Amino acid sequence: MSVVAPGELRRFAEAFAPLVECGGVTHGAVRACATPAEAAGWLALVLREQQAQRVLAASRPELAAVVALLRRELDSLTVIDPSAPPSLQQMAELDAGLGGADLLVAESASLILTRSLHEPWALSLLPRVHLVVTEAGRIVPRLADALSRLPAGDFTMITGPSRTADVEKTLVVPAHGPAQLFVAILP
Amino acid sequence: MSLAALRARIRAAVADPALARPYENATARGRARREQSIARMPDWAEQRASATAIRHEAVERLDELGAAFERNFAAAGGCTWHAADATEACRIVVTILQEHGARSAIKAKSMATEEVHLNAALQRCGIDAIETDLGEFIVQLAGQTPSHITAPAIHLTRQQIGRLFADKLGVAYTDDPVELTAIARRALRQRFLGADAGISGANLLIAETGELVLLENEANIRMCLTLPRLHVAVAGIEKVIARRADLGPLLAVLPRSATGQEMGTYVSVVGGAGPPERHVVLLDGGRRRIHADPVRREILACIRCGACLNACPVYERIGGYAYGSVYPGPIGSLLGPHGIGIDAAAGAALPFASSLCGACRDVCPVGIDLPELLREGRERYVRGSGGVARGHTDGDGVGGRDTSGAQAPAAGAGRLEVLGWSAWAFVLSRPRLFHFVAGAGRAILRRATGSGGGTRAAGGSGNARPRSRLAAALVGGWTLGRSLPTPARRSFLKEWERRERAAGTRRPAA
Amino acid sequence: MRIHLFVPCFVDQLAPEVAWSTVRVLERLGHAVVVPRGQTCCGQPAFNSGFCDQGRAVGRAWLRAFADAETVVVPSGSCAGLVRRHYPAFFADQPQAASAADLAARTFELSELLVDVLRVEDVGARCEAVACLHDGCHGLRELGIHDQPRRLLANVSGLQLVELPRADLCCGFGGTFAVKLPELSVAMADAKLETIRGAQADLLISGEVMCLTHLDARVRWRGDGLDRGHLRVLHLAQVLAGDGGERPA
Repeated sequence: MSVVAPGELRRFAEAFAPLVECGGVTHGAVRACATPAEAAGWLALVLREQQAQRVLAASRPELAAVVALLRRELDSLTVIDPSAPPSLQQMAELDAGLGGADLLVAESASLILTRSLHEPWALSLLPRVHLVVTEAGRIVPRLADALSRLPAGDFTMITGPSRTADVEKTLVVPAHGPAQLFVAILP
Repeated sequence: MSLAALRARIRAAVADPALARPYENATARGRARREQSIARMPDWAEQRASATAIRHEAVERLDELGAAFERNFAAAGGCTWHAADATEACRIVVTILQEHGARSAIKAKSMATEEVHLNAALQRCGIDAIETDLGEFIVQLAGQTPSHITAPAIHLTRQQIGRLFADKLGVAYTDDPVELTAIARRALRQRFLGADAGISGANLLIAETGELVLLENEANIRMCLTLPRLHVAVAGIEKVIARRADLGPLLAVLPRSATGQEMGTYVSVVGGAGPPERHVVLLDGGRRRIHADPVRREILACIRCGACLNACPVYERIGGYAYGSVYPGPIGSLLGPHGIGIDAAAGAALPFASSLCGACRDVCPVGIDLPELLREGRERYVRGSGGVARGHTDGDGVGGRDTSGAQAPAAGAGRLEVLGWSAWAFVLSRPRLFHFVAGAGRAILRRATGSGGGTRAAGGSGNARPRSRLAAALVGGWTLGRSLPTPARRSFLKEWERRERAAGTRRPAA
Repeated sequence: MRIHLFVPCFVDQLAPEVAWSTVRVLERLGHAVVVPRGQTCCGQPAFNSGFCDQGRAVGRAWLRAFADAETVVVPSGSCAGLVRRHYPAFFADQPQAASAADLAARTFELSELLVDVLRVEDVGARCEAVACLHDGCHGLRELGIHDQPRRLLANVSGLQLVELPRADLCCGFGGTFAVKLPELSVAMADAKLETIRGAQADLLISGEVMCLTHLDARVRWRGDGLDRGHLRVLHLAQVLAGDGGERPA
């Protein structure tokens, strides 16, 4: 991955802010963290505020340091074992899913996830809180840049928490998916 | 549906006071959000031009790209099916579900499945299919159909939805959108986890990679695509695009046009590999007939964003149901005569449900010339009746002979209307005759409006209606809600001619 | 400049004063106005109703009447739009293809002729009113006429122009649409009138006689005068002529 221009991180954060606003309530945040310790500290705080006990983390390598630190504060945190994936019911009973992102698109503040045994789709789908730990080097300016880098295979692009406007076009967060989206971006 | 039948439906919609406000509010919000999101975008014109080029190219290469999609989707392990029409599409979906022993299905919002009336077919076969998009869930619960392509429950107020939920779900009444959404979330959670199959449409099909692309906000589509062991998508054959890279411009224009979002909350791109086991039912349903017609072909470029509905002053007044088609609004009025969303004969008159104001063309993100296609659709309607053949000319080109070979739907212009227009053209292509007839017409109308050139009737129904049957025939439906205009005593052209004659010559040029 | 005037059929029959005003505006600017004999209508009602052969028959007469015109002016964006944007296609496979394409390029709506061709934005008119402007759909969307009438009106002394919310909202006239689907056409007029009521203006200006006729007829039928007495309607040409379009004695 190429080194991201600092402006892209700012653009990502600027585009992210309105995505988590709904009716005066904030449904997430993005934070540039200098170290895994800072990310772990922030996420621990988030999880306490969200009263999230049951947390499952993806077994992605870039998450390892943060997860290790986080487990010291939250002993109910478990990590996915790719050889024995959790059932849907188990995933549905989680309070939070901690995952990563393969690429980030600055212009729309989108997270792109590709299919991986280390992070089942349901981790970013069923729990009420979706936490993401990723790296600034994965930010690309525009969607076109992401499309040209993505490998073959399924991917999903996530832009903010789940929402709907089907009742009188009034925006409501969440609909069926995560209500909260927190993104920690490491250097 | 003849024009008269269409008018009756529209008359009823216009007269229904409960309809006006929800549509007016919802379309206003839709327009405002779209405009705001585009105003924030520095390169809207470029992205729109790219999206237009991509879709028009795809439509031109439909057969080739469709074949490539199938090849690549199948190579990865997916199954593709061909459905010539709605019946076949339903039969295929039911067969796939039954062969997999699927008894329950979660459905993602899909206009293609609405078009083929899949829910009814599934119900008949004992398959429990539940709509999971909030708007679709509401509409299904109410026993209705969507009233808008991208906002299915646009016609219902929060109070109506509150009463519906209280009645059908046994919850306490609330009209708070936040609580209503939470109720639906709770009601559907276990259904998501336990369903045997997911059923969806597709926003786009990528030929190069054999992938489906689906946009949404709620996360219900992601669940339909990933949680059950079986996924069946129903998609119109025209949804294909050449390349993954085409998503750049298309995803730049589609969410903005649909909901005014910079990006849909969730964009899923899935190929044939799975899991789950994936099937795609490619629906013709009249699309190949459109494709075979070079004039109509660009209709297939549509990406179903619904912007033309929000922009349309007719949709805003009559709402989604008055059109009588699964696809309302300007785009629906183009699809209808080809039997998409409504029986072809019933949809034949739909191109008349427009004032041809062109607002739809302004907002279309893929450059479809909707008003011109609507106008051309009227020509077809007229020809369909055994009226006038295209290109048929005699002398002044006026005639009522039918040489079109009438592949006609039941509708079309009546003999009388054809005669009327032919007489109109006969008169208007002969200036002297025209001025004579027009003078007589003005005199009749002036008498009818009781205007000796003086004051005009001030409102009220009685004194503004034409007083003679002849006058009534001249003005047609004008006086249903409008006073008669008072024609001029003297025509400008006649007066000018008289002055020129009096001056003995043409006025000197400056 | 010699300018050929096309007087749309409904202007000639319902509002000839608009044609007189057009003549006066152009003559005052020193141009010679020619009114070709043999003109009746551009054929739009038939074209838009699906009767293209009949439309072409009338269009052929129009092409004959204006055959030797260098510049054609029309006090209607709708009729000018039909000639400019649609004649080339309607006559593409006809003997008149060349003349249709040729005249299409030389036909202008009044405000675009003044502003874009003649480079005039101040015609020296006066009109005491708080006015709003309704953009005719075809002028706006087929010819891109938006700024031209506003610039001309900005220079009319005494005139205060209030921008309508949704100035581009169709009034619901739509040609034969108004009589084929009258209930809808009237409902659309009511929606348009709601926006005009909100603007608190005492004069409605438009470049389209039929939009004005349609709205005026609806106001008179309702009899509520939009709460402010009768809504006064004037065609742009009448405002620019500064005389309400009276026929000269």
